[in-house]
Amino acid sequence: MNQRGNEGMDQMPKTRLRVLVVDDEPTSREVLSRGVERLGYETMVADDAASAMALLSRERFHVVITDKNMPGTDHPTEGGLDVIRFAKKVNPGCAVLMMTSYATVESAIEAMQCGAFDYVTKSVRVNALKEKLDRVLQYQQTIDPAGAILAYNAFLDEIIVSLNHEAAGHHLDDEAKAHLLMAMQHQIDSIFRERREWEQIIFEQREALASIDGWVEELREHLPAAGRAADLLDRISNALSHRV
Amino acid sequence: MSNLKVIGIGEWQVSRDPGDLLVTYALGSCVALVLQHPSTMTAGLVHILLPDSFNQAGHQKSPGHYADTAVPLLIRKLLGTAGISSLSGTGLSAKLIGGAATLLNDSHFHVGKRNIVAMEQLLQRYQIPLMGRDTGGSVARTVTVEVATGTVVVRYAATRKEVII
Repeated sequence: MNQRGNEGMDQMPKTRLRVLVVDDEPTSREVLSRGVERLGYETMVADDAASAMALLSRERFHVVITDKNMPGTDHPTEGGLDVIRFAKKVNPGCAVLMMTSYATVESAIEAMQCGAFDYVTKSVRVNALKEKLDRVLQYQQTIDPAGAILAYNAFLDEIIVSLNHEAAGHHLDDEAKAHLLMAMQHQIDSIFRERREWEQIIFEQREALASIDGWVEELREHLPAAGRAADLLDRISNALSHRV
Repeated sequence: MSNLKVIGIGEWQVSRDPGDLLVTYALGSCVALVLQHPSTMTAGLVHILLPDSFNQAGHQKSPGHYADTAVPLLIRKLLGTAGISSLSGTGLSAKLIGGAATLLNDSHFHVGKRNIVAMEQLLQRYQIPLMGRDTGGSVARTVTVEVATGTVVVRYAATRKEVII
């Protein structure tokens, strides 16, 4: 029996965000992993840097949420930094959210300076967690998530450098710093949101051209190898070449 | 008279009818995965567009479009048609065609290359040996699978040259 593609019975399974939560402290690990689960995402947990790294080398995660202060392999007290480095090495498209105790601008800046995408407080509410993960999702849904996340981090580095510089010169208080940082993040997000939309358009068009290319080749088999029809097919082929 | 089954982008076919020819035309950066089960003479082909369904989670098409969903789909269909219940030790083998860099300026997307990498990883994960391949380069390829013999013929669109893998 032959089976033709695109049948109704083969619905697309929903691709879920895969999240790894790493913390040596059971309570905050539980709070965060339950929060992620409640949002309907796939969650795994690790209770130290070494087991997180073992998981990361086996499985592919879109997001790693890690505490900074725990025993590590390179750092006796800041094992979270080992996790971030390793996560980025095995999958540059992975976004790291660093856990912090407080929602201060200092902890936000510190997390980003360590290479994190964003930070979450250990007592984060589900709504706030959803907002953070939704931001990650936008970057992960581009055609080249690794490139998008790297570009985002590079933007942030620049912003944090000038933010610190400006702050020193103008005596910006924490509230003003936090406001500036958030405004800049929104700006960067909107650039990537737009990039994602453009990519979708480009890919729709590429797929259409690729389909036409296939039909041209199919048609060749049913038409004489020379003559006006063959010439026309050649012209279509030439127009398509290097565009699909 | 052989029976031609044409497979478009994101589509698949599985057959154990010796009269069938599975064909997919003009693979550019797309990849075709051919799965074969020699002892039941079953063959399947899927024409894959992109490496990861997650990249287009907002605009997802059928599972045949993405490597990560197309591979398990074709395995399932092939085992079903061959009448086999489990994947392990069944002698399933794979051939991979396409993944060319055909776009003039593909420095941003690298779709062909990323399709191939994704397919290699997936075949390894499912422990399906890759018995033949004709990938990369910058040529568009047409693939024909003869279900009766298991022969896979790749024809280059530009030169009309044919190779058997």
